[in-house]
Amino acid sequence: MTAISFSSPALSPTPQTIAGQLITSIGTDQSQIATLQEQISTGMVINQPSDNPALAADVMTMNSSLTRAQQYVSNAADGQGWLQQGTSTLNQVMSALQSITSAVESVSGQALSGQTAAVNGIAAQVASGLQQILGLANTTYNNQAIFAGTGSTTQAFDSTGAYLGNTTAPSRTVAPGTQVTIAQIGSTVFGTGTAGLLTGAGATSGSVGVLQQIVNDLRSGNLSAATGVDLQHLQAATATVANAAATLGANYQNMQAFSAQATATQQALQTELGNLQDTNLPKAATQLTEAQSSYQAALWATAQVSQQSLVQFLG
Amino acid sequence: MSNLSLDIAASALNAQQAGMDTIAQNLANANTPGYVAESPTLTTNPPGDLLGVGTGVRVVGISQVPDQLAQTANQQAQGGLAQATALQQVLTQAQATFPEPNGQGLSTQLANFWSAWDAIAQNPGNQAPYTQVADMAQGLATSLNQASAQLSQTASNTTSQLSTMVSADNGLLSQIAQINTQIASVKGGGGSANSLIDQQNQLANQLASDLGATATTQPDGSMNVSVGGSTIVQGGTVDTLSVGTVTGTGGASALGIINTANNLALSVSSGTAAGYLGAVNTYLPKYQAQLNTVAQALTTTVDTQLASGYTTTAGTAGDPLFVQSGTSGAGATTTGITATNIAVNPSVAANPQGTLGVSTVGGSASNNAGNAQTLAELGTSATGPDQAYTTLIQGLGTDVQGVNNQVTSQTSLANAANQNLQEIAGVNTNQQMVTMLSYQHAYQAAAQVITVTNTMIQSLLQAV
Repeated sequence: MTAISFSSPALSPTPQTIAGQLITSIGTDQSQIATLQEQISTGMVINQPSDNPALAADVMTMNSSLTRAQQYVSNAADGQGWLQQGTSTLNQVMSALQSITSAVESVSGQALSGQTAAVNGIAAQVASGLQQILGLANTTYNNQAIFAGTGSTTQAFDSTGAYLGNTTAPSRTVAPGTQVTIAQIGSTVFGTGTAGLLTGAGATSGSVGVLQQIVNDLRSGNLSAATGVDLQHLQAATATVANAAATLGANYQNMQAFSAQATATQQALQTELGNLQDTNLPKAATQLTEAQSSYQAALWATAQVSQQSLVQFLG
Repeated sequence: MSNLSLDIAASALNAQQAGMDTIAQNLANANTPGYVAESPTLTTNPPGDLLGVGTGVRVVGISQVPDQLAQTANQQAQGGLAQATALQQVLTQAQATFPEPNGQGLSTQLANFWSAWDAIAQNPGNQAPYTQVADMAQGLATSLNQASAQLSQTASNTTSQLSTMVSADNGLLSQIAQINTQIASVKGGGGSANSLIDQQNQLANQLASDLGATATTQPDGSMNVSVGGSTIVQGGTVDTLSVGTVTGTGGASALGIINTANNLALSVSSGTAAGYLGAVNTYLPKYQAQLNTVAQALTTTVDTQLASGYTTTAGTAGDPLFVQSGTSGAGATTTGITATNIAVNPSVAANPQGTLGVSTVGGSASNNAGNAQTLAELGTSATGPDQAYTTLIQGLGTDVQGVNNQVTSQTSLANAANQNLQEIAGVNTNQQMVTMLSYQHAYQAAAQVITVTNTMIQSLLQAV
C-alpha cells in the first residue's frame, strides 16, 4: 500500500506570504517617509531622545550652556552699564575738582588785592562744587547707588557727606567662575574723615573733610591754610579719584573683553547646536524622494504581482 | 472480469472527486488565518483474487500538511514580537512625558531657573527678580509633579490593559479545553477533526502572542497549553489566570500573572504580557526613581546653597526654597523629597524677597547678592539636577531606541517564521491548480474506462 499525496513538500510562496511581504515593505517605506517628513517639517534631526540618545543628551547640555552664555552676555551688558556710569561720573567729579583747585589757587592773587568779597565768592564756588560732587557720589544705576558697595541703601552718602554703604563691591558673573567688579566703594573713592572729600558737608566747625575745610578756611580768612595744606589735601584726594576712575576704566575694558567672549561662546554654541540638530535639508529632501520612489515601486509591485496566477491561464 | 473494471473505475471517480473537494476547500480557505492545506490520503485497494490485479483506490482520510515545528517556531517568534511591541508601546508613552531635547522640557526650565538667579544679582533691591525665581521654582516643581504623575498613570493604564487581556485570554484557554473535548469525541467517532485543529492552532497563536504560551499537541489530538512552564490547559480541564501582586526578584513585590488554581505566579517571559510586566516592574519604576533623584538633587543643591546665605532685606537666615509639599517656613521638611511631593516653600512663594538667602553677608539688610551669583552657576554641578535629568533622558532614549531596534528585528524574525509556516501549511494557488488538473485528468480517464468497458459489454451482448 502506497500513500500518495499531491501536496509537494517543496516550499514556495503563497499569495498570503507574498501579500505579507509586500505589506511589510510598504510599511517600512511609509515609516521612513514619515521620519524624513518629521525631520523636514520640524527642521530638527532629533525630535525625541530615542532618535539619538547620546546626541539628545549633548543637545540638552549645550542648550543649558547656551542659556548660561546668554545670561553671561546679559550680565556683562549690565556690568558695562555700571562701569560706564561709574567712569563718566568720576570724570565729572574730576573736572569739578579741577575747577575747584584752580579757583582755590587763584585765591592767593585775589587776597593780595584785599578783595574779601571775591574770596567769599570762591568759598561759595567751592561749597557748590562740594554739593555737586556729593550729588555725583550718589549717582544711581538701575535704582542702585553705584558708590554704595552692596549696602542696602539708595544713597551712598547722606547730606552731611557720611558714607552709608558697605565695603563689598558688587560684581557680575561673566564666565563660569569668573566675576568682574563693576563699581568702586564710595568710602575709598571719596575718602572718609578729615581726608575725605565730602565729610562734614555744610558744617562750619568740628571734624570736616577736605572741601568743607577749604570753604571754612576761606570764610574765616585763613587763606594760607586754604592755599597751602588744604590744597595739598585736595590734590591727594583728586589723585585717589583719578586712580579709581582708572580702575573702573580698566574694569570696563575687561568687561568688554568678557562680553565679546561670552557673545562668541554663544554664537559658537548656536552654530554647533545647529550642526548637531538641524536637518540637512538637501540631504533629507533627496532621501525623501528616494523613499517615495521606493514606496511607489512597492505599491506598483503589489498591484502587479498578486494578479498573476495559473488561474488566468486555465480555460 | 468487466465488473471489476467498472468497480475500479467507480472507486477512481470517488477518489478523484475527494481530491477535487479538498482542492475546492483549500482554495476557499486560501485567506483563512490558521488554515492548514489539506490533501486526500489515497491508497490502493488490495487484489480480490490470486491474479493480483488491485481493486482500485480508496481515500484513507483527509490529512493536513505536517507543520507542528513551523507552528511552534512561528508562535515563539510572534510571542517575541508581541513582547517587544508591548514594551515599545509603553516606553514610547513614557518618553512622550519628557518633551526633549527641543521642547520646553525640564532641561529648558532648569537652564532658565539658574539664569534667573543672576537677574537677582543684577538688581538685589528689586522685588521682581525674586518673584521670577519663585515662579520658575514653582514651574519646576509642577513639571516634576506632572511627569511623575504621568509615569504613574502610564503604569496603571498598562496594568489595566494587562488585566483586560488576561481576562480575554481566560476565554481563549477555556475554548481550547472545549475543543480538546470535541476532538476526542469526533476522533472517537472516526471523523475528521481538521477544522477543529485549525481553530485550536489559531487560539494557540493568539495565546502565544499574548502570554507567550506554549502549545503541545498530544497523540490523541488534544492540545496542552502551558505558560512559563506551568500547565494551564490539559485535555478538558483549564485553570483561570489573574493579574495581581507577586513576589518579584529580590523579594520585592511586583506585578505578575497568577494561576488561581494553585495561587502560583507564572514566569512569563514572552508575549504582550511579558512586555507589559517588564515595563511596569522594571522600566517605569526606574524612570520614576531617576525622576526622584532629579527632584532630590534640585532640592539639595538649591537649599544647601541658600542655607549658607542671608536675606537682603534683613540679613537673617532665609527659608529653604524646595520642600516637601505640606510643610512651610524655615523649618520645612527638605528630606525624603520625591518628584511627587516636591513643592515650593509657601513662605517663600508669599514673600520671596524676604525669605531667599541670596546675600553672602548677614547681620543687616544689603544689596549683596553674591549667593545668588553662586546659585546661578550650579547648573553645571556634577551632583546637580541637570546632570541627573540628562542621565534620565539619555537612559530613557537608549531604552526606547533599543526596543525600537528590537521590534524591527523581531518583526523580520516573525515575518520569516510566518512565511515559513505559510509556505509549508498555507494554500499555494498555483500548486493547487496543478493538482486540480491532475485530479481532473484522472477523473476523465476513469470516466473513459467506464465508457470503454460499457462498449466492450455492448459488443459482447450483440455477439450473443
